[in-house]
Amino acid sequence: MDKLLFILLSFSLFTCKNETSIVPTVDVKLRVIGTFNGLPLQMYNQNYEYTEGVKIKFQLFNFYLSDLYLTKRVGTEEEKVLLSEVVLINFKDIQSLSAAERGVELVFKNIPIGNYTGFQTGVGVAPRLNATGPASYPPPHPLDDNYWSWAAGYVFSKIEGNADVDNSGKFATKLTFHSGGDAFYKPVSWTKPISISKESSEMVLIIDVKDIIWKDQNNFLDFRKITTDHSVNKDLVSFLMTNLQQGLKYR
Amino acid sequence: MLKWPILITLVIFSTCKRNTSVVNNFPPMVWPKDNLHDMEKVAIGEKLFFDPILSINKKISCSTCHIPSLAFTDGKKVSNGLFPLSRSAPSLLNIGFHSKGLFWDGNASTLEKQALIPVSSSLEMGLPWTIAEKRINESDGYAKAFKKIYGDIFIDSLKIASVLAQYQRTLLSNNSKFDAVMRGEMTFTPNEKRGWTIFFDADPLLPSAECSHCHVDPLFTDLSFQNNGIHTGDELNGKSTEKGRESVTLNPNDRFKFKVPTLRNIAITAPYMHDGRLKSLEEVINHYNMGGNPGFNVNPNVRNLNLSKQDISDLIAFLHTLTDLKTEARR
Repeated sequence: MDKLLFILLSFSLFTCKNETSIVPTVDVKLRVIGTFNGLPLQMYNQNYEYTEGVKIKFQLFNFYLSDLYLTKRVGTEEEKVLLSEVVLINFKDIQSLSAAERGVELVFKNIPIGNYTGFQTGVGVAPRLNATGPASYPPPHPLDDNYWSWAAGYVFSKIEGNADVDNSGKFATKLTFHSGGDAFYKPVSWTKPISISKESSEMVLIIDVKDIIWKDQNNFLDFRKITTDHSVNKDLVSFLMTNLQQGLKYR
Repeated sequence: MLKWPILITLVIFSTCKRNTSVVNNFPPMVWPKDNLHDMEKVAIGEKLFFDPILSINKKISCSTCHIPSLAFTDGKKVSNGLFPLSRSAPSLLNIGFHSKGLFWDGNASTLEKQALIPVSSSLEMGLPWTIAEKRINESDGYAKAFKKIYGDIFIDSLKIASVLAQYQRTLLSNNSKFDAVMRGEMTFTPNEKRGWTIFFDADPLLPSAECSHCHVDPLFTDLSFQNNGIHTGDELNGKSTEKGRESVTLNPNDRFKFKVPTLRNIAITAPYMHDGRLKSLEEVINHYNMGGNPGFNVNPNVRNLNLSKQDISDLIAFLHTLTDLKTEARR
């Protein structure tokens, strides 16, 4: 019996190839920098001029990205390297100028070094993940929170804060916009050279929150008329999620 | 021949200790790797929880402020240890799922660290840990029980805290009418159903109470720290020594933020808020219905709700469905 056990263990050792040790890897940092009308985005501590005299302060801004891949052309084939299935870009703790300039930082471990030709992701929670729920994820995990049980899905993005609509300085108008739903999951990709090496392993995305809530003078969230939505108004969710996808820039 | 690999695989899997446990649709409970679930530790922890041996006057136990029949609260405005405290006793049911900080201000990151604090606090149990350790090591019953697990070594504060943490992780509440409805075993009354809808903002044709942004099911808390606008004029003008979460983070933006409490068993855990200032569920809902007091960091979901008397009544009917039938049986 001892001999049999030895044979089985030996067999299992020889059949376990450690392929990751062959390809050199590096930890890749993704920084997501938030701005509002070009100014660094801080929660609580900064007032921002919005439109038509309205000012705004933020308490929370977050959004999910799913299926983050670096892509590479090899002949006619596209190779993809998965960075992460899902991340929560959360500006909750970005409360100072220095933090705002640094942005939200995430690190992806053991990514193969190489010259990539693009980056792709999806804004929101991918439908297959959106069909799960916090019960599937031991904390801490990006999907252990922001879940609507009654709608059986995740809140893809939250914008919360206060507006000063009467120039009183009180910021008494409370704002909460929560967006989600499979129909509003938005893939996005960038084609550009991305070199991942020991010397260069940082990627930077930029999102300007004004681009999400203000498209042009005829298309914007008017906080004198609307202050809240929890994905009931589908046109509004579409507006916000489309603008979030289109506003996300790769630097 | 094929039997052996299968057998070996089964043996390997059965000897692996898991550090998560699963309850219904709850998030997985994560047990610390150095304090994995152990029924013998749970048993000692349970005995200690109800034993006043860990207080200076041998009259106060954990259960003095965390009474099982009151969903492990004490029914008081603020708790009374050796002296009155400034905050009320939170429920310990489902506390093992609270992975983002314990106490109203998040002052302890784990149950093991939390358990160290009340014993030596001069307001609560007032017993220096050196004396607590001596008492336990000199107690035949505890010494024997601990040695069975840890061997013949000194039982220090960390080991005592770890068994208290073990017991608290077994305090579950998942057997309410709400749970039975979710499992399809019972149905809501029309008023409870309407209250559920208002609670979860689940129907645009009904009013939204905005409760479920923070009181997320199944725990009915998202474990976050929020300012719910409960503080009034004088307190907002700096005449309060209470700072909430700010006392831990030293971040002024966290002033008056407190951990969102669970609403499970809420009907039997009056009075409400971190300092028990509201006596009834009606008072709580009226507070939110009025939009709370102003404050730069009051959660924006706390806003004028325009709920009618019927809406409030239905919300309360729904909240009563969160009472655990096991807890009710203890009363």
